[in-house]
Amino acid sequence: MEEVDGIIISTLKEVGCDFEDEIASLTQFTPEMVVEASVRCLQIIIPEFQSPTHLPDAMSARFRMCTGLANACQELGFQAEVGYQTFLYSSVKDWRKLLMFLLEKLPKEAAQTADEPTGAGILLTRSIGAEIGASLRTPWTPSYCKRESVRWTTPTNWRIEGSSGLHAFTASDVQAPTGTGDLQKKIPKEVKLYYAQEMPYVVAQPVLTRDVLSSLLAKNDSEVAAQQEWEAEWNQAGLASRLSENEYKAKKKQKLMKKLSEQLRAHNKAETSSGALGLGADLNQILSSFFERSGTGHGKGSRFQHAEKLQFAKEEDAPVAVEATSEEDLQQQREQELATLREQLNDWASQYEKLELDIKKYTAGIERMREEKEQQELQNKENEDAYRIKKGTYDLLPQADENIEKLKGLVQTSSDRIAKLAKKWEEIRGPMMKELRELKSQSDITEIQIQELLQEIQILREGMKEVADETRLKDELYKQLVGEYERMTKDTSRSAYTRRIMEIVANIKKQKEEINKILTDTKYVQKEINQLSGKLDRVFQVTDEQVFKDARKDEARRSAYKLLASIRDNSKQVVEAIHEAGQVKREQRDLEEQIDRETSKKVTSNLEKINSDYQQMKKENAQLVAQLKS
Amino acid sequence: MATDLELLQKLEPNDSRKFVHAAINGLCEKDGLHYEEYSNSLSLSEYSKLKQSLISTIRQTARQGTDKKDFLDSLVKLGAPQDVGGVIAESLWVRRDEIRAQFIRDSASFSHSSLGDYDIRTKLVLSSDKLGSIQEPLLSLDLRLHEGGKERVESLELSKDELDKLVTSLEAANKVVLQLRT
Repeated sequence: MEEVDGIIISTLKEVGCDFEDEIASLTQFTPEMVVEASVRCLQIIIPEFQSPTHLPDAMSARFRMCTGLANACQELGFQAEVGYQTFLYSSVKDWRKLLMFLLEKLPKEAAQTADEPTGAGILLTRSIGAEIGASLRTPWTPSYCKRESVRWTTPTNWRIEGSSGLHAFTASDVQAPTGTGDLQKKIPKEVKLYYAQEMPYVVAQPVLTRDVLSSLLAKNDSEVAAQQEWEAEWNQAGLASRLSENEYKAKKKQKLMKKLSEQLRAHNKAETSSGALGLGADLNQILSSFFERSGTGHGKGSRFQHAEKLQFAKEEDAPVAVEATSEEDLQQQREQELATLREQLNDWASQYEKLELDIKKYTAGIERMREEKEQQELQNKENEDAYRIKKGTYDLLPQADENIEKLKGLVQTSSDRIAKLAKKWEEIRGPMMKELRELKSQSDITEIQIQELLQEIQILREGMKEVADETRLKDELYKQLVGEYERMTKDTSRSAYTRRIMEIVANIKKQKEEINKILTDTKYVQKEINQLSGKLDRVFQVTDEQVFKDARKDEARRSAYKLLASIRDNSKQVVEAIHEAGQVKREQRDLEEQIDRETSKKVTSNLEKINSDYQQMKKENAQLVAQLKS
Repeated sequence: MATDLELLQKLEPNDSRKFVHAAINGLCEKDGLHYEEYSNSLSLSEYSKLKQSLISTIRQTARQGTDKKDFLDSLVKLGAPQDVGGVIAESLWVRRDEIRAQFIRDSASFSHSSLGDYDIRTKLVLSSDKLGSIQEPLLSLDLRLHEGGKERVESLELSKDELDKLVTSLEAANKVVLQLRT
């Protein structure tokens, strides 16, 4: 009970009652303190409640005030009976119940001012307000007193003022030694020498030192993005294709090269058919060589540079040396030359087109000829075969019968051979078919297993990602909560309370168990009593019958019967007496409890107090009457 | 040009290798050659002649192939003396991947405009002269574009919805690129 009292007293202190520090439990409370506490709580719960906080001295005023308080508590919904007597003449238990009820009714925000709403937006605005306020309070410093516009407010906090030190994000490529961590991989000697001696540190690689940070960030970002893309691609398409990583990469490279060359060829054909010359043929040649090489990367660079070179080569193609004296002649000569050259160009262009058309016609003609030739050859072959057969038969005609016999024999032997071969083939084919079927079924089974494994792998990877996300969320939550916990005030130790509560709960559980045990015991005992009394009755009846049967015959037996009857009566009396004794004990226990309750109510002391107060009230009334009269 | 390369022999072997690597660094847009480091062995005119010839030699040689032999052959064809050619070939071979990446970057960005760097700033507009409390987050995006040798900066200011639209359109473009690639 002490902790409850402690909690009540501390909350009342927060509400605004001033008690002395030595008061630690409700047993030390006086009616005045109870009245003050309840008045303050009611003022908070019901803002319109007006009442002085201290008990006045006059008895009637006290009586009025306490009835007012009691009515207010009843309106709030206090279950038990409450009247002026609970405040003035009641016991500690009733005060405890009343104060707990009032404290529960207190609106939550008033009692716990430390519980602020936490939301990200509100936190942000609050921190913005704090920063702006702090920066308005500090004096202005010129830009040359701040390094890169950074100003340190405390040894750990800084902020940026002004924009003279800000610069844009420009990144350049940075390189670092690769492959040095894996000792098994061999790095060539020259590369090692370069790493050791000439390669500058990453901070010295960009042209401007202020770009170092941006270059590092950019490099890191690109590597992370590349790895994520590769993982995503590998998870989706790579695993499904079931090739190893290198094979998959090689296959992808081939596909891309094919696509590129197809696109370029198509584009190039479109260009050449519209009439641009020179470039087309060269580009085709380069494309074919490029696709054959398919691996030397400088081919790409050289293609463009080759194209550039050709462009410039074409422009350098008009070299006629001019030796005119005056500028105008020079100009005219040049124009004439240009005109002649353009005519030539046009002539050549038309010639070239004509030649191309001829070439096409001829190639088409060649194709037709080739087809015809093939057809003719096929026909030739057929004719030859037919001729051979016919020749053979004609040769054989003169000796027709013998030849027919010979032919029949040949046909027979060949058909026998065919039969034998067919049998052999069947013998070999059977087991091979069986093998084939077994292998097929096995491969099907392994297919299914592979599919299952692939699915499991995907599920595991997704699970891994989810777990990683969850751990990240939990870490953030943890950081947030740790921050909040450090900010919260720790004046009341919750752990002691929680421990006590758990102990009490455990005690109650044990008590419940014990009560249950006792109940079962009582039931058992009651059952036994019933059984035994029933048994007793039955035994009596049986002996009664027996003895009665024999009683008619003998004198001694009749006396035995009378004695039996007397035994029965006496034992009945004994049993009844035991019953009554038990009942009396129970009544005694109840009466004792009642006595305890009544004594705790302190009726006599209260009665004396009430009497004295009543006398006082009478005196005051008489005084007032006297005042009125005078 | 080839005779200028002989000036490389004037430097110590370590210094000559350092010179070649610094020239390659300058080619790859990093911190490159500085005259003070070689002022003891070379005069200023020699230094500038050597630098020019070395850079043009490197450009021509690096296109040929990826083998040290190829580099040596093309250097010999250009008329460089033997040991100088050896040093240049070795350094080119060590840095071939970087040089190749740089050439690819240059070629890929020479026709259309390409994005160099981008810069992001998030701003929270607290209030203006008309409204007392506007708590609106804005994103200021600066794009540095390289267009045919010139650099241009495009600045955008996006609200949250516009930023979402931009991000979705970029994601769609990325998906198309990925589809083309696989």
